[in-house]
Amino acid sequence: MEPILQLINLTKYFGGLGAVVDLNLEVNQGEILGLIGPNGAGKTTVINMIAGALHPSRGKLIFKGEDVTHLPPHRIAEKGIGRIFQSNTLFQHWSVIANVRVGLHLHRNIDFLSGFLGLSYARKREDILYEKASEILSFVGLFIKKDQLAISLPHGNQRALCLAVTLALRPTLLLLDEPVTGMNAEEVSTMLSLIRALRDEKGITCIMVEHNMKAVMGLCDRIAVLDYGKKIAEGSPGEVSGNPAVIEAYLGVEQDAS
Amino acid sequence: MSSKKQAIDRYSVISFIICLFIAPLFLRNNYWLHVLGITGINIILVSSLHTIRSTGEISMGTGGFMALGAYTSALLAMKVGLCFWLTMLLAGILCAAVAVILGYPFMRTKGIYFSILTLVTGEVFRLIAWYYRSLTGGSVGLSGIPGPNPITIPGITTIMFDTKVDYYYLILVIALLSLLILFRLQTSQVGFVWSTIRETDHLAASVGINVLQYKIFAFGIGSFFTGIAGALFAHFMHLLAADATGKFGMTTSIYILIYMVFGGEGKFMGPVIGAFILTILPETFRAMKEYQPVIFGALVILIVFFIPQGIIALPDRILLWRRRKKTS
Repeated sequence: MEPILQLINLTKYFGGLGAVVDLNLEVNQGEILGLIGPNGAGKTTVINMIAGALHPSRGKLIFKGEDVTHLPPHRIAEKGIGRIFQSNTLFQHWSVIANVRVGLHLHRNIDFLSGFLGLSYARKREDILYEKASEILSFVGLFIKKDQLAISLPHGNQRALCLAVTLALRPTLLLLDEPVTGMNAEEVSTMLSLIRALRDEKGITCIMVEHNMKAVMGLCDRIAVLDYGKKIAEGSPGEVSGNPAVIEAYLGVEQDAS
Repeated sequence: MSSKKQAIDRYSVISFIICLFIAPLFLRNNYWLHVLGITGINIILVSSLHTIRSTGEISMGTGGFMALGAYTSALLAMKVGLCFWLTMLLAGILCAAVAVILGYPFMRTKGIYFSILTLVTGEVFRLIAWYYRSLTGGSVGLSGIPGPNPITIPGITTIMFDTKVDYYYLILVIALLSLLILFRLQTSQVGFVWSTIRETDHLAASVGINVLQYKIFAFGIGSFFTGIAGALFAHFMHLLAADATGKFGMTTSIYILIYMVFGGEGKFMGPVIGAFILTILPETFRAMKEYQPVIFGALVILIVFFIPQGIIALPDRILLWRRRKKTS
């Protein structure tokens, strides 16, 4: 089967520094791909390039057989690639449901004039949008908190809300930048089962950057390891965790004491 | 509770508009009608700035865009002989077109950079009017700008535009129409998208909002109404000159910004009230005219420290203070 996303020789230089160099990676439909590596390995840069927030210095991005290398972020989102940011990026002073409502923006089908004239038709659309937003909130388990301000939620809930905002796009590929970092054990397991449900129930493909190894090993179907912008290993969690190059990257070379 | 408050708001706005319509019956004084005319123009200007501000950016080019609109309308009326209604519209459209073309590079910058770019651009517009003597009269200025053509309302009256009262009503109607359009925009889907961009622009982009396009649109709409205000100003004053301390200088851009902050940018009516108070108030203390910038500065500092939501939040604040006093 054709991969949903292909990264071909993807390269990003910041000044003279190669943050990502000649990265080749294929993401298959319906899998959860883990992207791991030490700090500064270029994981977030890869995510930013896929999402269109950064333009690659060289190389290509093919999404569903289409070249999306130089598209701006909003066009990437229209193609069906959603992302959650590393930090909790939300409309902080808005209610939870208003946040999701922003994500539904693409499906509004309300033309500019009908909103402008305040037609009852637009009101009806507003009700449908509200219903859809409620549905998404129930899925991530935040429906009971729908009227709270986003900023008042605990970290784990804010993370789930980030996911909900992105889900409103109805993405086919999700980019998750550290979805469980900073969470307590209970929040982690809730988030992981959410991501699993996304794959199993909605068929959403995920690329996940994460430092929590237990989460990555337990959840991902396949893992790619980056170090200094280069891919040093790729394979199933079992294969990767036994790979000497990976152990070296994380722990350093074993020095002989004698 | 909130719907009751909304109803009160609506009734107070409607009754205030009625007051404005009957004001000339009691105000037979041309001076005050003139002041109210300028107030109306300032209100259009501040609402235009507020529209651009709703995407998070502050334009400092209000004076310059106003000059562009004013000279466009005046020159089209004097040299080409078009009627006022058409020249006013064309002035607005030209300002919007210029803003859209400039917005394409300008709106890629944010914050202070956008403000500086608009500040410099505004000054360039003014300086062109100042130095292009053969077209604009330079420092002598343009005089004898014609007023609008008479409007005949069949069977009732003919508005000749030869008295201040006629101009008062002209500005009142156009200001109300502009506010209505801008208010509708703010509360529509477009306004919603603008506020998402103001809150967090990269999140807005990640959910598929074309940030650049929406920002340029806001800049274009704001500049359109700035141009309309400029055209009104030209035909209201019958006289234009683009000196640095005049209406088209940087001071206007700054004053308009002060009106917005003073009134409170959180609500649509905030800047309108700010412009109303700060245009009328100095006229009642004319003896202190030379201290006006100092007083304005002090007022803004006080507002920012004590009621950062602006003067529009004053009633709520007073309630809060009184409640606190009771409990303590």
